Amino acid sequence: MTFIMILYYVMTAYVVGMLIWNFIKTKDIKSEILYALALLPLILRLLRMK
Amino acid sequence: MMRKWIILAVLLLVVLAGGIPLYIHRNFKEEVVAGEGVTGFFKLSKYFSGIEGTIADTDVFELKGSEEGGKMLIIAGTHESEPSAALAAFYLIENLKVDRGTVYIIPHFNRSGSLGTQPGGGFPLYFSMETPWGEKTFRMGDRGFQALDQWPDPDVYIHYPEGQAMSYIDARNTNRAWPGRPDGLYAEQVTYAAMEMIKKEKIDIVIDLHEAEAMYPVTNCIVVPEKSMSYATGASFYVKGREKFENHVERSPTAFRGLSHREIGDWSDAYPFLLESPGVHLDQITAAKTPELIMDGIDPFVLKAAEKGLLFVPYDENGFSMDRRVGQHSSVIQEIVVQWSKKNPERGLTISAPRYKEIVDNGLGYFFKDPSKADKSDVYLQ
Repeated sequence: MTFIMILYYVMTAYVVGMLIWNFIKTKDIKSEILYALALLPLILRLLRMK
Repeated sequence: MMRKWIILAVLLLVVLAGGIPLYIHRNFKEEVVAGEGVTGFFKLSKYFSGIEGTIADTDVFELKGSEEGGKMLIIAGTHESEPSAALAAFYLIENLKVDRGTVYIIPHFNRSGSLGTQPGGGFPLYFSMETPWGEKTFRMGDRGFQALDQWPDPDVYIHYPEGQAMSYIDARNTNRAWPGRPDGLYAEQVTYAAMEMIKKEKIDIVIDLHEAEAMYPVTNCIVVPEKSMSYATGASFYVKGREKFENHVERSPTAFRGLSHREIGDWSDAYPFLLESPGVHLDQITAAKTPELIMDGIDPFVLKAAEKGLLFVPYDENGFSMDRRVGQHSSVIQEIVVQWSKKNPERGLTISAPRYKEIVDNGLGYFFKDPSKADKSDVYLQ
């Protein structure tokens, strides 16, 4: 795995963390669903599934 | 708070339902039983240690005849969404006899691409065929390296060493990465390793197996540079006259860089040939991309396009089956070898395997051996 690829995984983990933080903080159901949907591809990438 | 837990639970379910099949597919192993002709097996990293232990490394089967002669390298799986290439390689590993010369076969040149399908392409993860001993299943793959393995893509892919600017997506395309470089992207490293092999082993003939859309002009053909032209033309005439299938010759463009049929010929003494068979599952206009479509090549919308004269291949309600596509690859490879050996007797090869008609008449599955009945040392997991 190249250095730049490792950096991209770190960035992905950071964005996942921020999305989870926003998911916890928000009280709006539409935002909660939106954050959950946005998390989906990023989690699949972090778990190296797709 | 309960609402958030429910949403998270749904997300987890979707991740598991979507992700687990992808994980299983990525770890699914195809079985190939080495035939009598196989005399050796090694990794491509033998020629460039930089890819050892990485996803760019791949398996090479050696089939050496009892008599010294020329050498041929057959590359399959450059584009893993074109499965007749890998199936032709498996078929040859199990059935090819080499009396003179040496044949090397790489069934999954772009191994990363064989471990996932095209995102958004709607392709099935697997396809199967009937054999006399049961069903044999194969992985469907993607055109380029998986983004899981080579990430991120550049904004623009700059070909090395020509400097030609290409689409970003071609950074993961092993047929835009020739002749490659040792410190480049994985796609460039695997082509560099193959170039090292071609030079060190003094390979005479390189065959790169592909499939193309029926609506794309460069399909059902042999793509060659000038130096390979006479051999390809001879093979094309032969299969049309004797075996009754069309396989015309296309000239490799000199200004389009990175392709095997251009760079291998320019950067080595080998004679490259890129073989295209018609894989209608690749056409954009088809109905659902099912395993049956991959195997049978039967599609009502492609048939409608054929009726309107929009295709570049003969096509009817019988489709363009895997048997025909692999059969074509088998016959054209063997005829290229015949043409080559006539003009270069000192570097000739003598090879044999069932050809087009026999494969179509019996079905491709007939020629695959049962791994459960084979000697374990002959079964290779791909």
